[in-house]
Amino acid sequence: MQTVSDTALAAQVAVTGNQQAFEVLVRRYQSAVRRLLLSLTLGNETLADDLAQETFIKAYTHIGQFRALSSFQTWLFRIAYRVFYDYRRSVVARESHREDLSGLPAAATAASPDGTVSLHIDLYQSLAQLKDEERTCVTLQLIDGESLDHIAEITGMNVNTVKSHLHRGKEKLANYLRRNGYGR
Amino acid sequence: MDDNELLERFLAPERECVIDDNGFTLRLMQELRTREAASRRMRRMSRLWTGFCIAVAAVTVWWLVDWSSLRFSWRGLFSDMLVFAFTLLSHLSAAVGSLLSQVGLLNMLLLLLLLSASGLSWVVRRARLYM
Repeated sequence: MQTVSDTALAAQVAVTGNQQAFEVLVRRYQSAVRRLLLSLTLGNETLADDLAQETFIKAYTHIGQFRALSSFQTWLFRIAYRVFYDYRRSVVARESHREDLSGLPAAATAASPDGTVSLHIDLYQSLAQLKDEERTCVTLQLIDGESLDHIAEITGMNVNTVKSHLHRGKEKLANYLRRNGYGR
Repeated sequence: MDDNELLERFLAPERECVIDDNGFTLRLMQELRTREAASRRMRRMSRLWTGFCIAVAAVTVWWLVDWSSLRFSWRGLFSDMLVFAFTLLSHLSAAVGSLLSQVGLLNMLLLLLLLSASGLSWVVRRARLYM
């Protein structure tokens, strides 16, 4: 069965409002978007799913702005990043003091049959050591495999700023892992 | 083991991790349909409200305006415009008539103009040949 390209599906949604075409796109990318948001929210599944839903709804209403200059995934990640940051700003605005997600205990995840739950808690606890920007850059590069240019495009940061966040983020992460017994 | 190798080993399983859909897509599409239906309702209400306001405005204007005096004013304006247009036309036709009476002089002037234009273009063509 021939797979229809993302650009063709996006064009169908933009021109005719074809919701079945959009559903195909959602099924293709829901895992990547939710995984990114899980990393940014330090494992908070409910929050990550709400933000992922908001991401796809924004993608649907603004599908006409997708120009296929980058991949559909990169475009979605850009929306997801902005949705997450809008949420963060609203949290900061609601509370009187600045609350950083780093340092907060990670939300517990459900145990999986193959016993990887401890790995997931370690992942979000380790990501919690990083600042938001560092966590975003590290997640996008090391988990999602995005290039520096794509990360800069997604986050709206300069490439050199991305490099700087990556360098610091990787260093902090590696130091945390060594302190907790990884790599021995 | 350097930092990159350490991070590679730690994050490799996460890279392979695929999150099950678990009804996410269905819930999202349902939410989309709900929001679209709400948006259509809002647009319909907005159109109804606009139509209602226009109708009320039209009825108010119809009720408050003194139509007989307005009709009188418009009639006066229209007849003034007609008089002006006829006056203008009569002046124009007088001007054209006096111009046509000078037709002999006009013909000579036109002939002179044509001759000088063709002479000029001949000069220009010759000049281009020698350039």
